[in-house]
Amino acid sequence: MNFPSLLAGSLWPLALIQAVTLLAVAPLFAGFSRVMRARMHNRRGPGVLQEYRDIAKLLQRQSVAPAAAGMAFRSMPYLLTGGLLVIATALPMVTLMSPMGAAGDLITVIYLFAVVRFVFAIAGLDTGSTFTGIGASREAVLGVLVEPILLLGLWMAALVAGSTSLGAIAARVLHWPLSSSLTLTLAGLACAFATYIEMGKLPFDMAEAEQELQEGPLTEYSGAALGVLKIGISLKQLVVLQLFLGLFFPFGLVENLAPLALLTAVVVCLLKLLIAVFMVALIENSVARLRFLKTSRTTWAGFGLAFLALVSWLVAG
Amino acid sequence: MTTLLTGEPASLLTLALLVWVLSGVGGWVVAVITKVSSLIFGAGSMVAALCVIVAAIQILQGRATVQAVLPVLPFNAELTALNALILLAMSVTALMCSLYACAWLTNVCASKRARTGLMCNLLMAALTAAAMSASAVELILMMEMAALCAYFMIVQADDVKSRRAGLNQFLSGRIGTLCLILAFALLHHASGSVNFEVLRHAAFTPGIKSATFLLALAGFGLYAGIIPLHAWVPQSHSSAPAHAAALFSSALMKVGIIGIVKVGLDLLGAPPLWWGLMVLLLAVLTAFIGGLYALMEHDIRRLLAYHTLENIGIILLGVGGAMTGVALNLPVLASLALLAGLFHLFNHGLFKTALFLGAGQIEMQTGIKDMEKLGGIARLMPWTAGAMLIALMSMAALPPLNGFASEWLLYQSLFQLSSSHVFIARLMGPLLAVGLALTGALALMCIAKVFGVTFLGTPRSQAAADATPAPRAMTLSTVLLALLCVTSGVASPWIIPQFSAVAVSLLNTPVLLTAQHGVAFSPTSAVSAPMVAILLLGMPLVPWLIAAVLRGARLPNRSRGDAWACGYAHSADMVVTATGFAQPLRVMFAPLYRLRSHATPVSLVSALHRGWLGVFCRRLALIELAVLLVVAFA
Repeated sequence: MNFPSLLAGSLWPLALIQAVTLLAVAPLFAGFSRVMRARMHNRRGPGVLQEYRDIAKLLQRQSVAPAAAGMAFRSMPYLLTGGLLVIATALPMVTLMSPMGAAGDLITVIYLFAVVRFVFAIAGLDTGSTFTGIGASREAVLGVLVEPILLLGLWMAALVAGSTSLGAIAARVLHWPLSSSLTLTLAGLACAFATYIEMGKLPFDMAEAEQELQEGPLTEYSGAALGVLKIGISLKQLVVLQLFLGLFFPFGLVENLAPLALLTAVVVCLLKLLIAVFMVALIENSVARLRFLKTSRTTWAGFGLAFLALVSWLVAG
Repeated sequence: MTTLLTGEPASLLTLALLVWVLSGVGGWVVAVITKVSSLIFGAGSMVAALCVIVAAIQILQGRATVQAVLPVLPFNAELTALNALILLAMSVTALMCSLYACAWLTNVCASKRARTGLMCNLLMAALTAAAMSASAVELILMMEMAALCAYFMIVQADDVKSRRAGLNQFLSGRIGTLCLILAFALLHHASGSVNFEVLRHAAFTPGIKSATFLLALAGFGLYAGIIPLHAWVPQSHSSAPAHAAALFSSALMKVGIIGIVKVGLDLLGAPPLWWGLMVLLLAVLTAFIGGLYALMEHDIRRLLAYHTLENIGIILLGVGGAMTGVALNLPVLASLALLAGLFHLFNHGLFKTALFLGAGQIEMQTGIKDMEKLGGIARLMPWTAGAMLIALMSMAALPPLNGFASEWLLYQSLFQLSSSHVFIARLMGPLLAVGLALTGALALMCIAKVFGVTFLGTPRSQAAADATPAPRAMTLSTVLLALLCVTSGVASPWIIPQFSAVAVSLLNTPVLLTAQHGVAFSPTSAVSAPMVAILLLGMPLVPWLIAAVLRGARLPNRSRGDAWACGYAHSADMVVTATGFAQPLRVMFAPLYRLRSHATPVSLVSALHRGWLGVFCRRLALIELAVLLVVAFA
């Protein structure tokens, strides 16, 4: 593959379109998972579009912040959402190639997630509130626990593909190499585990734990800022999910941009996301939250999976 | 005298050395006249640093003979690309440290000014000479002199901690020198010369080579602070003046690394595989433990010193990768890893100096070293805060800053290592990458802690609430360094080829194409730092636009009152401290934190610090420095 030509390709409008589309549908999927939760609790909750109504209402309200809060607190919702949009441009969503090759590399993506985590954490420390501070600390700790799993899982897939670029991994997984089946399966499981933790769902909703931390770093947000933050957080869930789906379930991604194929790819992509959100909702509503200091024992399981992927790759040699 | 003004690299370097020494002595003589003496120290040192920068750039562009005898001074210099690179990395930071020193020296008492100014200038001169030395005798002499200058800057605070730090530094420096003397004595015994050019072409038996390498690794490792040889590093960075601490990190310890590169890759010929693997293991250990211990520190400068250790580990990952690449005959791995290591060495100098100088400003304006007592500094010292934010983000390798650019290359070289055909490399490659990622996550948590606790929220003490912006020269030095961090990150595709040329010249490998048209790439992937920068700046506009469009009749933002505390009155004690922020990791990594107390035998430490040894070493250091100065000028 010739990298400069990959970067100068004509896919960049698609990159922006897919990022904005993901942003637009993020509340829809959040609404869907909300409906699922109500159904599983045997109650009839609000409709799928409730998230949009909430956000629209919040965006018209005043933002109130404690006196100690400064620039970091004010700008975080925009920086968080913006950072996630940058990642969204680089994901293989409908095309097999990453539309933004300049950022479509697994190391770049992992470090872009770190940028998002950083702005989230320092905004939590900027308010002088207890809850936001603890939430910030937990967010950072979760990063320490998840990053090794995510990196090793993706690294194994990249080794099978022979390249760290997202497009190359997706292409390799699509033409599933039989000799590397075990490695890819284990790596996929490890990444699924890491993805689930990154989505911040039960039993891993550590930073924003509703019951004890009152939404952690989000505690002090209100009004328009909270509205933007709500879109940002549902976008984060979709972005990490799509990163996983795009790499390990690349079925339905197109190589050329024929209109009909593109349309099918969009439908398949949304369908895959829907199924994934459905399964995540199933898990989320059937477990209880973990104790925070015991999380590290659970995350060892994910790292173990990734390590087994490494072992199987070494053996298959 | 006219030979000094020709503008040739050799004469520029001589000029720099002379200016450093003369301005040091000159400032020392007139130390009682505050302004004049500070200006002589600072401006002299800036001029000298500029001379070195010009000379280094000339050498990097290939406009110099490799072997040169410096005019006027009896010193044989080797002007290779590697030496020029380390000279450049050191003198850029030295320039900014001197700018900072101009303002700092006017604010201290005369005796402190005299001593710090003189020692700092001598330190820079000695390190510059060490970086371009052409023989082992010169190298060891100059490193010894630099270490002694460092010692005198550490002990001048004259409290228990500083004295202990000084003693630690003195003892490890002497042991380091001893190891180096033994290493080069072995080579001298086998080849009959200590001149690098002769050693490079001499043939050694594998036994001699390995013994030399181990001794040199220990010796240079003590200077570079490889864990477990790092005992002198943390407290000495906190006890010395901030700009001296910055020089320890960006120059003194780097000379140790360059020494390892020289011995491991240059002088002894092709390294066997186990050297490279050993360096890689030491590197990942240094990076991880450094990052982990940094998280538990409250003293900003001690924290930064631990992060220096972490970065030393990251640089060594590149060096070890290059050695492994040469041993396995994988030229792409070797040149990519060395390129990454050297680029990170340069970048680390930039952001760490900015951080130390920033920490020094906070300390000067508030008198506080402990960040638990700070808070809210961003409003009072906005320029310092902004510059430190950028430098901190570089340190955690966040895109598109310079730390990311070099770590990205390092990950790519580890990927090359993973996909080679040797079992041990295939096993270690992924695990080293995981180690690096874990270190990165720890660094992220640490910078969130430093920035959040020091600069954000409300002040936790009266001194912090009364802080005022630092003098302009000081602020300027940090801001300029932060700008350099941004430039070196965003413009990395244009800078990387320069470093690539250095790596290639050292390894004699074919030229590796690593950057073009604003894109840095390896054989397996590509990244465009300018593009990522544009996206990161542009994308936050999308949510901002949405919020602006749907504004409606919304009232303007309001900031008032205390944070919510479940309906109770808010009190400052409720706020999460630096300790509380890092507490979960203290629990999760408890066995590794206990390691520190297990690995330090209490009886030995208390025996070392019983009092008389410190005084004795101080006198010894003074005598040694005097002797060395006489020897150097003779």
